[in-house]
Amino acid sequence: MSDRSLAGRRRWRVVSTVLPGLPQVLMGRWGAGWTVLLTWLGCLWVVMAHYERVVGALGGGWDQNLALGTLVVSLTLAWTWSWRDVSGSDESKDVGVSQWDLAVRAFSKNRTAVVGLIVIIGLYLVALLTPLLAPYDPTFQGDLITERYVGLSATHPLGTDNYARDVLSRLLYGARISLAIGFVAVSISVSVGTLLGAVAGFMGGIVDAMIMRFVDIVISFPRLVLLITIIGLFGSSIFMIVAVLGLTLWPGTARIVRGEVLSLREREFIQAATALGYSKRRIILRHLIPNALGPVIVAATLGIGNTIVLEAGLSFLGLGVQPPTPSWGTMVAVGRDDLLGAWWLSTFPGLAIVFTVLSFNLVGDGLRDALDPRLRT
Amino acid sequence: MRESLLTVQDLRTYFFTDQGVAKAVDGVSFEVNEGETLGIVGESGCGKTVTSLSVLGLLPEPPARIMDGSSVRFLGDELVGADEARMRNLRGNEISMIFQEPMSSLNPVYSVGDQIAEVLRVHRRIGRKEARHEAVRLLDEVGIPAPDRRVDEYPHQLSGGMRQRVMIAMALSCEPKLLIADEPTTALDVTIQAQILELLEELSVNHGMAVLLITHDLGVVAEVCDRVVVMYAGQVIETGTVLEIFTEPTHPYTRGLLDSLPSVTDSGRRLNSISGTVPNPVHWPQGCRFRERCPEAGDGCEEEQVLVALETTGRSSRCFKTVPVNLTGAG
Repeated sequence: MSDRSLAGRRRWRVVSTVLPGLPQVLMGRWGAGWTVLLTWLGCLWVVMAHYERVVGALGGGWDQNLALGTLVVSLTLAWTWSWRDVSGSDESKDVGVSQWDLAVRAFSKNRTAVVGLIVIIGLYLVALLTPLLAPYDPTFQGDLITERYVGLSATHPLGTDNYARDVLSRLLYGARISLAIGFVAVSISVSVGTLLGAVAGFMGGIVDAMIMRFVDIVISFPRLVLLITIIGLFGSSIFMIVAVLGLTLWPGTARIVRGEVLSLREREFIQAATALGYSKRRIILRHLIPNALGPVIVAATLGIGNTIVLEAGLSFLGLGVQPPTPSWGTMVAVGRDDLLGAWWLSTFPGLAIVFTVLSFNLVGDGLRDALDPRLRT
Repeated sequence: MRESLLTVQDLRTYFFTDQGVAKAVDGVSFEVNEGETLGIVGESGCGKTVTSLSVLGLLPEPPARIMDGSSVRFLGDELVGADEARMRNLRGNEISMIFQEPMSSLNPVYSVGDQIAEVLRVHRRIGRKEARHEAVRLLDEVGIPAPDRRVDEYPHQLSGGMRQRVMIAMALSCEPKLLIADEPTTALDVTIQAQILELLEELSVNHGMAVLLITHDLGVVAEVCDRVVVMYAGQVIETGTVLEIFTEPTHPYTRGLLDSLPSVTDSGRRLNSISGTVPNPVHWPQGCRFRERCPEAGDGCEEEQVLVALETTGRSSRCFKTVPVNLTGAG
């Protein structure tokens, strides 16, 4: 951070107060700069354009309050970060440069990946702020005679569907569902997979054999059949989809982590940790897992994209999120019947899926390069 | 007689592999007294490292197994077969160990300060602030310049010598009574080697800490050790003080080792080497294990050799030819 230091320049601090992130962008630190700048501008726009709604949200339901909270937190964070960075108060920054710092540096040099990350952060912000952003309620039906299949217009930026519902609002609420399912399912699978994989790799012997055979069993189970069965038995709910996806995706992570741990276990610092009298639990949690995390983060990022596609596929088949709750997969499926007459019904949710998954894959690829010391130059 | 700090008696560590039973350590006995520096010398594969790992119970079982009848006593406590909790409390606290490769002996994801502090927090149960303070003090003690800055650095930012110093600081943090140093200088370049050895010597004097130094480098032994144990093929073949070993080696193997050292006075001489390699631990040779490589092998060498105490106390040898006739009390 020392070579392109912005520290101590008064004008940057002034600029940073009004438009946080702009100094960073101008100095060529694109990733950080754009993320902060866009977050700040986006949030500001929400406040300005939907002032009434923002104020009204104070008495609203939990989702509106959550949205308001997100707004406040992201505005504050963006502003504080940018200000601190410019004023250069953190002097000890170039003393300890950890592997993570190196990875962050390598990542921020990768333009495509940074763009992907900005898109993802934007998507999550939008998803959280949806109650304030969406022009209509996602299930609100307009006049069925005059407002069905309205094309792109000022009142309905992305048109309306067969029940005269606003497509943009449904798309925004759909983002909430898709992103939440992707995030939660992957969180479950990564936690379970990392822990089991690390234990299997470190303990070896019979424990390893039992865990890995269990992994083989779970992997060999056809996920779709399992989902259809469970949904057939218990009915379809978002909770079910998350649970099934989360509990069938972890074996991949477990295998990756086990492989990493098997090679880490032979490294001298793990031997040294034993020689220092650390317990097995401490060695696994504090010494093995943090070192095996690189490939896990990559797999998790790619996994979220994957899960979003899976969920969209399930919803398309009618097994996922049930109408009238909006979901991108369902919207594509419903719009398919009217594709020639009302092209916007399937196109926009389809594009949303493509761009979201593309962003996750770009970030995943970028992380893979950044976290692999062999590829780092 | 007072008990030594560490007493190893008839230690047998076998590895049960597909190729057979490798008798890596086959009846090793020695003791380390409080405050002294004992060197274990020998070629690669003679069982030095396995001996040191066996003391701390660090070998994975299976394939390794410490055989019945082996005994490792630390301050009178039997360590062979001690439960895991006792061993954990011992390791890093009363007996510390430093390894050969300083490059990979530190965890790459934590700063060196965090790693030193962790040892203290595990064994001493002290607070975060206090541990960090102590870490800075230890870094200073092992001779790292600007310790209050270095404490936040990560292993990859330090040179090999620095990392070995950090390892020593970690090993030292709980004031152990015994430090096992397994080839601590092998991976370092020569100037750094001397510095690290000096540091070890200084610390062992200041803290009254005994050092068990494992090395294949007789130069290192000459520099820092008080007594020497020479190992060959899983057995102790000669013991004595440094002076005795260097001036009057009794075992042909020890003489061979000394002969293969370059000499300052006799430059231009071709370096000698001991022909052949250490035999396979699955099939140690019958009789004297050094027989096949020994220039003095002859009649009587096909007999199993025993370690015999020589007239001077603490001196012993495993070669029947070199044992003086007027021996006192064979062991």
